Amino acid sequence: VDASVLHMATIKDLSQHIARKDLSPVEITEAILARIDATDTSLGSYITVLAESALRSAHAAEQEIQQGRYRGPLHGVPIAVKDLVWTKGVVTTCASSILKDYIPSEDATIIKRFRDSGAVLLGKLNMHEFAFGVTGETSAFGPCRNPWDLNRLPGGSSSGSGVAVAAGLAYGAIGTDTGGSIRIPASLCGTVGLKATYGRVSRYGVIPLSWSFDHVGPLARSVEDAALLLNSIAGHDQLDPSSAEVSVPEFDKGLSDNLRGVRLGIPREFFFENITAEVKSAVTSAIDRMSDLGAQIQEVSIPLLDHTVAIWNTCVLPEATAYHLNHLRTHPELYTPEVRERLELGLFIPAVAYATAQRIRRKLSEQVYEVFRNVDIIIGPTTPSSAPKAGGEEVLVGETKQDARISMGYLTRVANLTGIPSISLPCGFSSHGMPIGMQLMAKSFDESTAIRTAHAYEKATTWHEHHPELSDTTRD
Amino acid sequence: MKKLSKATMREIASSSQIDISDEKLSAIKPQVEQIIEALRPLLGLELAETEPQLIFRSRQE
Repeated sequence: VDASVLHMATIKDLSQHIARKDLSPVEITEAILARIDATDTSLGSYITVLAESALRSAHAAEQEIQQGRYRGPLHGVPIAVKDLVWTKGVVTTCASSILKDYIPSEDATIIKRFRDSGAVLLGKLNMHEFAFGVTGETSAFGPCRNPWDLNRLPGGSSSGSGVAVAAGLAYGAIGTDTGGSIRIPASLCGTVGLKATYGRVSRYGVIPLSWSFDHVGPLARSVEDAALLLNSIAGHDQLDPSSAEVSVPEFDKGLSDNLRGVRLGIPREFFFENITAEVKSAVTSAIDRMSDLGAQIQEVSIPLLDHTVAIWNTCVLPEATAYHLNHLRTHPELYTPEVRERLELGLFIPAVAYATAQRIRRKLSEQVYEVFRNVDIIIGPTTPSSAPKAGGEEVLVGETKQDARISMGYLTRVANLTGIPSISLPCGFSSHGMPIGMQLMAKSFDESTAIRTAHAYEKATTWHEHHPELSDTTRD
Repeated sequence: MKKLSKATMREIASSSQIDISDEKLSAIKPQVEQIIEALRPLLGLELAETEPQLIFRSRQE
């Protein structure tokens, strides 16, 4: 690994050097802490940097590896987590003034699993307050900025996770996804984001937004890295009532360079109507490339896709409000006005509407599963446009102008409503030099097919090899 | 579903012990109506055999 670009190495490459003892986890951690110190003031990706404990973990990892006790591909690798994941003895804020002094007394299950893997925890990442928004602008600790252009949105709610991975301030990160909050920042920042199947990754110790929609998952600089991170955190957890008791494959195994036999379904009526011309062109080219790699392409129809926003809003708002009720009673003034208003809105969704939307949601799942009888993957853009300017830019999607802050989540919610896995990966750049992402969705618990398909496309392209230049991050 | 009046919304907020100003209720009311209105085209769906998808386990096929 070239020392000048060490911070942009993949976990896969880095781990091979660490295992061979030709790279030191201590030196890697020192270098990345120095990079965070030098560059994160302008990006705002971290809320808390755990320099001392990270160095202690790195020293411990190095000692174990020197003694021949190498644990696996995350051993000695610096990663970071969204600041809604419990970390014992470390403040966990949800990017809100309400929790600015909240210190959990135990680790979330995923933190325990990362510690078992020997990963080095660099710190806690910025996010949209309480994960309730898609821009990354709204945080008690200041907005997070896109490393490709500081004037543009990073996407949210896992904004710090997308930014830290894209800018080389962590080798991998954890985000959460209730309506797209892993995949949206992955798309806008040019990284990979993987939302696994509902129940695949424990949510114990992860502060909820909406119980029946929340997912935890990795952001990384390659598909294989996302698979390695998922290997570490997936699996049943008795502490999480939604955790699924299903076998967990090794997600990084069986990757290949071709897509022979993979059947791709394209739901044109929804995914390709209300998007920008640039996004349409990039995703269409990507599908052509996947066809060249051996994939069979067919159009599919999911009639209820048009209504995903309506169903999602009616279900998520009351669930979020129910969780926040006590804080809304006692300290409403501590929320940002935007998130407070959204939470207050949930009070007025009638219970009948909520239950009805949950029934329609099951209908949608049935339609999606009908499609999966004939295809292995459903493919489409992750976001309707590349990263819009901060502050409420309207974007021309199809024939209408839309507030980008709202439209960013339109295309991702179907995977939360149905619980199916979805991976977002880079597939091009806009005329402004901003990344464009596409998402591949698979049947429940078939993350392996989504990962294998994404990996084959990634290997055939170079989009993931482009990284932002932090010295020149304002374009126009 | 009938539209909620501001008076009803005030009662709902009050019964949840949440203090929302009149001005805020005016801002929230059309948003609530928009959400319910968006659901309206779906109310004609045949749902007789359909259970809610609340906390669920995804199907494994």
